[in-house]
This record gives sequence, C-alpha cells and structure tokens, in this order.
Amino acid sequence: MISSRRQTHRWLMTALGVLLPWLAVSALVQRPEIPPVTATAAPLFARADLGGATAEGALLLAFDWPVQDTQLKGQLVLDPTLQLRLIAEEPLNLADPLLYWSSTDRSPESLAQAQLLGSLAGAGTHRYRLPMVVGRALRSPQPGLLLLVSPLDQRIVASWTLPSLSAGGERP
Amino acid sequence: MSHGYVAVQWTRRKLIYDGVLLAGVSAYLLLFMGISHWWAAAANVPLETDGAAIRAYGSAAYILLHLTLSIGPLARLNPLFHTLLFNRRHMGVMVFLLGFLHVNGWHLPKEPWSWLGQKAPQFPWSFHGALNWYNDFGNREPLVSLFTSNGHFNDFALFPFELLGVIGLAVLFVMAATSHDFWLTNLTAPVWKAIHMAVYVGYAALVGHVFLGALQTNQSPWLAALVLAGLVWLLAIHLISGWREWVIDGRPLQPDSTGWVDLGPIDAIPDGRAKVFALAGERVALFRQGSEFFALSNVCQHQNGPLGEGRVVNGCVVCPWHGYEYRLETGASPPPFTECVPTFPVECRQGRVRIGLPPRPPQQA
Repeated sequence: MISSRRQTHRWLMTALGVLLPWLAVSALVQRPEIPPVTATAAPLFARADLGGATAEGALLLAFDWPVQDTQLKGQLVLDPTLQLRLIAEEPLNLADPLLYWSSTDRSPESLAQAQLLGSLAGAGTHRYRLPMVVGRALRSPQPGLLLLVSPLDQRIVASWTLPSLSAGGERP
Repeated sequence: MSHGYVAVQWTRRKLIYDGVLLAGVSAYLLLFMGISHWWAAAANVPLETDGAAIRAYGSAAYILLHLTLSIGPLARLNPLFHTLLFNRRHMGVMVFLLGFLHVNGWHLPKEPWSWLGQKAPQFPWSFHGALNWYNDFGNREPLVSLFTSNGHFNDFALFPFELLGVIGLAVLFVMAATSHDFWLTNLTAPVWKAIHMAVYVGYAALVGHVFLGALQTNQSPWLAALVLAGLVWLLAIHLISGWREWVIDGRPLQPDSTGWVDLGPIDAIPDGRAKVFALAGERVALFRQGSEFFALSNVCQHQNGPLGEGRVVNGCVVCPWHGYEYRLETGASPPPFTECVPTFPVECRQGRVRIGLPPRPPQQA
C-alpha cells in the first residue's frame, strides 16, 4: 500500500473507531421497551400460511370490526400460540393496508410505540401470530387497540378496542 | 492503452482456497438452519423457515465480512496470515452474494412461467428474501415500500436501517464487480485500491444496519455482545496495525548533500531478509544476500503489496500477497512477465550501508 493510501486508511479507521462504538452503544442504550417490528420480523411470517399458522385451534373470542363499507370478522385463536385472524370478504379500498396493535386505550397520534402485526391487503383470511406483549395485554384489563393504517397516506384509517380475555372468562 | 481481458486463472491453490470458503459457508448455513429447526421443535413452535433463512444468509455475510476485513491487518501483524491474503477478493465476492441472497432470497422469477399460466418451479431450499416481505406481498412494489415505509429519519432507534443496508450492499457490489484483475490493471493499482477503500464506508453502513435493525427487534444480550465484540475486534486490529505502520512512516530518512542516505550498520540487516525504511515519501526495502545488498521500492506493482516482507527465491523477491516476482538486481520480473519496480544504488562503507537517490527507473528484463 503506498503511503498516501496508508495515511487515508489510518484517518478512516480512526474516524470509524470513534463513530462506530458511539453508534453501537447509542443504538443499544436507546432501544425502545417494545421492540419495533420490521417487515422481516416474526409476526409477518404468520401471514398467508407462510409461517405455519394452522387453520385449526381453540377459538377464544370472536368479534366484528366495521371498516369503511366492509365488516371484518375477527377471531382470537390459541393454536398453540395466540393468533389473530381477520376475515375480509372483499379487499379494503386502501393501498397496502397494515394492521398495528397499540397498548393505549385511544387511537394514538403516532405509530412509534405501536406493534406492526402484518398486512391486510386483499380479501380472505389473514392470520397473525401475536407477540407475547400483545398476549399479556389481552389478559389484562387494558387489552389495547387494533389500528388499520394506510402507509400511503401516513394515517390511521380505523381503530378497534379489543375486548379483554380476562373479562370474558375464557383464558388461554 | 487498455489491458485485455484475461479469464480467471485457476490454480490448485485457488481451487483449495475457494473450496474451503464454499464448504465453510455451506456448513454455517446448514448449521444455522439445523439449530433453528431443533430450537423450534424443542419449544414446540412452528419455525418461520423464510425468516430463519434471511437471518442465516444475513449473519453469514456479516461474519464473513469481518473475517475478510481482518485478513489485511492480521497479515500486517503476522506473516502467517499472508496465505489468507492470496485470494481475499473471492471472500469479498462471497460476502456480496450472501448479502444479495439475504435481500433477494433464492427463488426463480415468476416470469416466464406466469405467461404460460404456471407457477415457477421451486429451488431446493428456496426462500423469500427480506425485500419480498416489504408490504407483505401487497399490491405495491417491495422496493417502493422499502424506501417509503419507514420515515423516522429524526428518530435514532427507529431510523430506517434498511437504507444503511442498501448503501452497504451497493458498496459491496462495486467491490465485487471490480474485483477482477482486468479492472486492477486498467484502473492502476493506486486508483483500484482507493476505490476498494470504500469497503470501510460499506462496513460502517452495515454496522448501522445491524445495530439499528436486527438488534432493535432481537434484544438478546448475547447477540448484542457478539456483534459488539466483532466490531471491537476489527477496529482494534486495524488501529494497532495502522499504528505500527505509522511508526515506520513517521521517521522518514533524509539524504545528505551528496544524495546518499545512511541506513545504519551492516550487521543490523539480517541475512536473507529485508529491512524497510521510509524514504522520500515512500518505502524502500533493503535486502541482504550474504555480503551483497539490494534496494528496491517496497511497493509491488500488482496490488502495492509490501515486497520487503517477501521471501527471496532464485534471486527474485516474491511478493507475499500474490506471488509477483522481481529480480533483486534490476527490479524486473523474470520473463514472460513485464512488471518492474524502481531500484536504488547501494554501497557499503566502513561497516555501514547507504543507498543513493534518485532511484533508478524501472527497467524491463
């Protein structure tokens, strides 16, 4: 390596030696309590039978959720982990609608603390394996909200207050 | 005048190197998937095989990138690692391929099968890569989703780590695409090395990608410790080897009024080896063969490797990086090769050895 390249290499590594440890430690320290769910995180793989969600299971709760002109049918199923099923008889009139869960009791202004559950695109049965944090909330007096989000408009289109499993007397 | 294309010249050594590389990567991927299956079975939960495959390929690329970037400084610190330098570029290409599979998956495209009203056949172990999951097979292009689904640019923990991954992969692509000697010869070694130094920018982007991505969703302290250890290791060996180089570069020798530079007592130069000096902004390797001394530029014409760390075989110094050879007397490669490096006049007087400036121009055999 010629001397000018060696010098550049030294400067570059010194800069990275300062920048990267700072980045790493900051990223670990500032981790949110509820892990943000990315598109490749576990719950999305339960969608569309790709993640091993099965058709059978013990039905814990059934509910209806009116969204736009459609009535979404919801089911909470234990199979063997907690699953949410949403059945849309026809596609929603939204580009790539996404389903989130929020621990709040009213629709939040931002999705920063909400959990992404998966996509609601297209008609048919959508299955979501619920993260443990949602399962715990469902068994508490504050089960939280389901949020339907339009990523294109960056807004919450509809929300639905989930019933508590502890109030219904049926415990998973 | 441009350099003609010459296909990769496979030697037994290269085949062994690549064989070990392929076997190692395959073993890692199989082990990762095997342990994932075993773990899921033990916990009695269904395994998300696509998710496990994405993590397997991503982690394989990240680990291999660390190994690849470790070879350079390790070879500076200990000549034993020169063997690994020999075909390091193939490791870099493998890092890019693994990263690409992490993003794209391993499956045939829908077309032309869809034109015939059929589904594309499945590869063994095929899976959908990370990009396919953006918008979860919705009706928007995944690439559009990738760049628009996360707009938290002002939030550190929620920063769109995907963009950092794109930057890292783009840099790795440039490295892989220009890795062939065709580019090295046409661009010249200094320019080629300068371009390939961007790999550190790519590495920084990928560190950000992992810390702001995978380590935000997977909060295992063991995983964080492992990734942190990799970062500390790589920075430490680069800084230590860089510091050792700086010790040599920081004390350049100056010629006297007659143009000669005193390199010290003859006995300080070990027989059959070389000693490297910083001189006139570059490095000079002074070789001793019994009572004879030869001074050559320390910079190999191939990839600017350190000739002073090479062995002397049949009167030629062999570059420790890729085996390029130069005659000690003339600095020229033996025929049919045409590379050559500058040499310096040497004289021994009163038990001390001196070299003269300016250097003799490179002379072909």
